Amino acid sequence: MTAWLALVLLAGTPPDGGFRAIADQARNVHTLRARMLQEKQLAVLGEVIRSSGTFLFERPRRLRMDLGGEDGTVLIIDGDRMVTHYKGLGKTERLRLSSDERASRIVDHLFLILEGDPIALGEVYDLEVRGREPLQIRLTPKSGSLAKAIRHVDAELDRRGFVAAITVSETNGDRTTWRFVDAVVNARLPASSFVLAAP
Amino acid sequence: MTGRLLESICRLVMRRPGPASALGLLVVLLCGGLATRVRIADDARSLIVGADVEVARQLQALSEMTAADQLLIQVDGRNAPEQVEAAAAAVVEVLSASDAFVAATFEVDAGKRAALGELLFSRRLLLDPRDPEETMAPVALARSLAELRAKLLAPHAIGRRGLLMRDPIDSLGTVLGLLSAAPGLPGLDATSGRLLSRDGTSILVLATPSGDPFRGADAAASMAAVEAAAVRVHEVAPDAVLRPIGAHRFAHDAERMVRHDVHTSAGLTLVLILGVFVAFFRRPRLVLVALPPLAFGAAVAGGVAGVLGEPVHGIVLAFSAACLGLSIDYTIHLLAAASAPGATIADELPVAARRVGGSLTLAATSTLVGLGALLFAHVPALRQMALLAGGAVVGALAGNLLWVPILLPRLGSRLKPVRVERGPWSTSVAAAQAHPWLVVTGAAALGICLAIPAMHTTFDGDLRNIDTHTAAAQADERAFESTFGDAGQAGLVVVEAGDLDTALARAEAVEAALQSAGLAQILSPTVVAPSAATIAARKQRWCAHKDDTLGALYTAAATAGFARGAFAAFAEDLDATCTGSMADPRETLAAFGELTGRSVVGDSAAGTWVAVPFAGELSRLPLAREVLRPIAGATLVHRRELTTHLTELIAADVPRLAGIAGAAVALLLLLAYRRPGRALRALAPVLLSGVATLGILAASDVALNLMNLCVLPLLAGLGIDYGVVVTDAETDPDPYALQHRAFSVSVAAATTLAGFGSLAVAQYGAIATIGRAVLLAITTSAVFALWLPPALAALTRRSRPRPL
Repeated sequence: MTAWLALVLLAGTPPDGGFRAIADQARNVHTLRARMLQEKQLAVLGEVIRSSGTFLFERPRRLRMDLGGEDGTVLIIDGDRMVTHYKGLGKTERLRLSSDERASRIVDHLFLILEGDPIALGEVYDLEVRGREPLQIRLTPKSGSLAKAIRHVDAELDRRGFVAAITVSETNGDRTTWRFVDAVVNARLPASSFVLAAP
Repeated sequence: MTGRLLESICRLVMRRPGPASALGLLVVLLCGGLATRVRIADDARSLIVGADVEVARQLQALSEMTAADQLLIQVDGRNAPEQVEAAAAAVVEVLSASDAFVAATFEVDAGKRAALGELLFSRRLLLDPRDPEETMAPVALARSLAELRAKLLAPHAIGRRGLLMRDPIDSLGTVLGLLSAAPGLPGLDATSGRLLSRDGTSILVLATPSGDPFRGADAAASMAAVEAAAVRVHEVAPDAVLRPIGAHRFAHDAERMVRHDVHTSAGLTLVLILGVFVAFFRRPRLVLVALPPLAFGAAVAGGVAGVLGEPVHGIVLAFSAACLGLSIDYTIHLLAAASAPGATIADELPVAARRVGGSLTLAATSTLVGLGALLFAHVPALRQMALLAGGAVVGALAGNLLWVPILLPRLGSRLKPVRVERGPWSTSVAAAQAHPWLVVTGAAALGICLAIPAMHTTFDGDLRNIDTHTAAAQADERAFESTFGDAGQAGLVVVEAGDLDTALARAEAVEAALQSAGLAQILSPTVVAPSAATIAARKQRWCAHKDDTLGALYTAAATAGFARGAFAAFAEDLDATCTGSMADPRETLAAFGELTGRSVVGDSAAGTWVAVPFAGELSRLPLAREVLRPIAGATLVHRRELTTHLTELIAADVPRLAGIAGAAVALLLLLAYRRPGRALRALAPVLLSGVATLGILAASDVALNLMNLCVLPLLAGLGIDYGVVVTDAETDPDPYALQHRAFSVSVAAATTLAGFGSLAVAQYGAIATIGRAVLLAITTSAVFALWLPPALAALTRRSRPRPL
């Protein structure tokens, strides 16, 4: 999370007391537990699909997104392992990310955004600060295959040093927004958090 | 006449020991020089590959088209599942760095899978085997679209919309799912991209060695690399266990066992036969007379091996070493005969040569004839045995005629008579003469009793039953099979045709035939490259009612909440499918082969071949053979097929070789004796011994296999010696001839048993099976030789009308 501050610095905007506070907090965020709101706007569905659930995150590379509803899914990523459970279908897919280049790229960018390596982000995205309270930043892919799929990523940072909202706008017009509310930082997460329990 | 010839040779050598010695040494040097050219065959396949065309074809197909030559390494993490991946990575790292391996992996190559997926995507509708009428039915469509919607709404679906919408019924997934079969390994789960066991405790490392598994040096190099990997695994994952199985492991183990057996056999044979020799003759100094002819015989055998110009297998060497026990027979018969009390050696030895010369010559000739029958065997190793053992016999006879007359006189001018004490041999012949009817009746009864099980002799062409695996290898095999399955159950059908499309059409027919036979895990390349006829049929199904198909899709899509025009890309792809043509399948087949690691298509003399791998219960193979018969150009390749064919070869060879040997020996005896009765008396022991050997083997549930099938021709050649020597006592002027000959037969049999006894306790099954069968044959023929000829001779004398 500290990287966000570095990005701001790279962008040439001098940090103020607010950024400093966020940077201090970001260094100490190791886990995050929050209520998650997902909003998907897909051209093929013609309507905005909203779902909610829970979000768990643990450094360096673990997350769990558990969305409810008929179209709900559980997505668990633990290092190289990815598990997707489609609740309505009762179907589970297990994957090693290193064996699927496409899925691996998507997940890499997801963590890139969530964790924020300033050097890596700077190589991939152009940065634009769009708001200060709360801090809102737009990341635009510089080039390559990423730019063909993603138009830009908008992120909103919480003062406590984590990403409070992300909106991914794709070049085909689709948009996905995740909002993390009621967040608890550095809560102890059970080991079973990143294991899919048998139905 | 031959007796007088041998007497003349004996006298000549005794008069001219110097030139004779020089000649002998020259022959030894010459043969020894030739023997240095002998190459040991470390290719175990050479035992059978020259058997016939079909065997060679099966072996080549198994090697090139299946994983038969790969090394399968189970990384067993049962004790520590968290260590198994690190252990597997360590194995791959070490093997990949080794020159002994071309590749090693425990993952499905993501790049190759992606490349194949890209090739298949544009053709997915024509590759999808499902009927569009079923997949586009309302219920099926509703299910497919629900799944599609769920995938689109998943958090990580960013960037996937395009591909998902173009394949709403997941045709590509269906096709890729058909490619997930791993013939022979039902316990393998590769869906995660790793080669995991279904219970999650083990990883399978597929290692492709760079060398030939049946070339000893290559197998040794491969296994050395595996041992290095095991050391590395112990460092990073101390609780993980490596279990390598495959041709390289087994061939390497076998080579070590054979080498051990060859060395043991040679040393043990020499010690045992000399021990028996001294025990019977009770004169240790006579060993000095017995050794040079042995060495002479071994030298000649070595010279023959050198002249052969082809590698000699270790099993042949072990057998040849055991034949040292035969070579000493001539020395025994000569010394036993040269035992008249009070005579000098100078006088007695030539006389003995004359007395037993005929028998020795006839015995040696019959042995060569019997061994000669092995030249007609399908198995190359048996043909080599015939030549080397023949060389040893000829060399031993010549060596006796050369060295015994030179050396024996140097032990003293007078030879104490060999004390032919009363022993089992003299008791046997005396009893046979006293009660001939009892003996003959008993022999007949025994023959009948043993003939019954002999008629149920079984043949076993399964190489696994003679190719001994070490206890450790067997344990690893069992663990592997319980985890992943039996890789040996995999086979394939090779389909040949003049062109690729015909081959693919036949492959489709093969797939249907295999399914009808109940065989499973069929990984047909027609999944990715159907025949033109199949493509045309599927195209017809998709395109004949295209508008209705799309209408059904749009209706279902609206119900599922999809917007108008959401499936425009799919409609375009369907149009392209209906108007375009299918690309040449060769590129797809090549990518498929890259992914599976095995070629599935290639060029042959007939045009093109396509391979269809499968697995399934072995009990269904005969049915598979039947259902494949109508399909032109289809050949079933399976270890069981190889076994079946080898069994058929054995079943054909046994009566053929036995018949050739028996007929040739019988003819030889008739020519030598010119009296059918006498020839029959000499033959009787070996005839009964043949029945007894087969009967006892069958009753003990021991089948005739590729190695021990040599026992019948060997019996005809070796066992006949005893009958000849005892029978010839009828014309021997020595009043104690029968006792002397019975004694020498007993000693000769004992030394032969000592020679082959070392084979019987060999570690390697193929060697041990020869030893045990020959032990049985020699024992029975020697025992019957002490009883039958004297009894039959006594009956003949009694039946002759007494002169008035």
